[in-house]
Amino acid sequence: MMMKLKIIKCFFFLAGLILLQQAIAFGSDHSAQLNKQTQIIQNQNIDPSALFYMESKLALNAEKIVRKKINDR
Amino acid sequence: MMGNWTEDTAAIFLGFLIIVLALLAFLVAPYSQVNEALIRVQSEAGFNLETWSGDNESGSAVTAFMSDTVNSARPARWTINPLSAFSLDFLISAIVFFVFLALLFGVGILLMNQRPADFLKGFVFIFVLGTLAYLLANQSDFRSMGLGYALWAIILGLVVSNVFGIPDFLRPALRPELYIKTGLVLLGAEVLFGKILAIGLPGIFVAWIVTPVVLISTFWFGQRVLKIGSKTLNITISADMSVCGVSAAIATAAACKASKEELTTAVGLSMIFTSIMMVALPAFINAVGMPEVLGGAWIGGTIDATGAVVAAGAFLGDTALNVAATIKMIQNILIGVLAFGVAFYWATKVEKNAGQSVGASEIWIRFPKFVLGFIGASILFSLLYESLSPNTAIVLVENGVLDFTSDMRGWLFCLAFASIGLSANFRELKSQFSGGKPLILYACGQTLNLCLTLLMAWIMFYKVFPEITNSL
Repeated sequence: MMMKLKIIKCFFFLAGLILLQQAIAFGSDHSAQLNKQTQIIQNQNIDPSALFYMESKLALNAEKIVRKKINDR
Repeated sequence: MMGNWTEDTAAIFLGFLIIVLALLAFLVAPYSQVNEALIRVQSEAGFNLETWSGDNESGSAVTAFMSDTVNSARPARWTINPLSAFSLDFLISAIVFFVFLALLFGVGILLMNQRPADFLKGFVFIFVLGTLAYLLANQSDFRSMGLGYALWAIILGLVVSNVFGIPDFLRPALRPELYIKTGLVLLGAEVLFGKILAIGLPGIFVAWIVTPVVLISTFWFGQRVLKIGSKTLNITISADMSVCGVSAAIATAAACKASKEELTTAVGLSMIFTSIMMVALPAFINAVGMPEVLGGAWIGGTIDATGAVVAAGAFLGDTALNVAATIKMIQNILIGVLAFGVAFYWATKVEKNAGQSVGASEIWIRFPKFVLGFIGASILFSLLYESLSPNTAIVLVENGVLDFTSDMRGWLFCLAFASIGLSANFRELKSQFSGGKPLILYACGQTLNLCLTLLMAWIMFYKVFPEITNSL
């Protein structure tokens, strides 16, 4: 009985994961805003979950571009 | 000597051991060659540092091995079939990396006078859970919404502990604080103080004036108006919302000794709000026709995670992306001051009895020592970065040492969150949300943050320093 309950809980967790993934995919397909955002993230190879600036090459480059523009003015 | 080490001192030792390994492999061997090569090619017309360092071997063979191993030990990106994320290269790298981590923490455990053999049995499981967290974080849809490894590691840990329970062999490896504090020493190396001048005074005003004001106001609001029972929960959420999300929450929670459940609550709130704001804020800025510089500064000062800031800024355009990411980077640097300030405030004010005066020795006893490792690493790398020529610093420090240590730090935080999920008490976690106070605190604090950041960005970039805005 306990084992059955554990299997059911695991099933619900996996089902929840798939549902969440499908919901995000559906949102990306049907919302122009989300779709554009997803395209930009994929095309520019952005990792939106990067926690700190050192994890993002784009963030590191951005700082150099800004610094150069201000110094060149 | 063994047995006298606390978790804090062991974390400082392990953190600096990783830094020394990275420095030996990345800096000492190739420094003269890299410097010489850079001087030679810099004078060439059309010289591009990024292209040059990508095309040339600017490190040693050890460099490539260490970097590749840490990177390849994570499952690759996937869309539909999770099995496609695994390869032979991954398997070999994961085993090598696991052995490295096991040896590293085995030494740490030994220094703390505990049995490494007991630790290692459980550590295998935590490493596997961390790998699964990276697998979920690399699913393309989850990735595009910014649902990173930290969230998945907590969720997977919670699912395992609540469905199957925690077997006894796992308990010696449940050391979230050791993993977090070691990771924070590595994070300290990434806090380069010279970077705060990147965008001049407007950046400092937006990131270093508004942020502390929002932090203190939110904390005060939580204590006096919402009457949140736990000061540690209040400050962890306030810091996470006002500074830079998950990394600030980790540093603050460790500095004030918040519980695992409190850190989990703060991280969960941050991830949910970040995902929403990453989409909603650029849409709003576009809709009202806000200028790119103002929009970028607003995004950089308010959205929590750096990655989400970059994604939201990119939606508006290149200028917005550059401004947003730079403001966020300056705000990231504040994490060093934050960790030290919170640790000092807690040691001198919060943990004392009414009317009691706290002497220097008492402050020293209470003060979380890992913060010293964090600040030490920050000072060391800030000085190193500034002492090298700009291009050499980028090639050797930014693209070399810190590239490796930031990947290592990511793994350590992942292991920490998996341990937190495994050992967090689900009932206590649920009770954190009773009355919805953490949610109200975050929402109210973020509203204040949005208003003040927009006002300060407008004043600084359009009224006080319009010449800087024009040059961007």
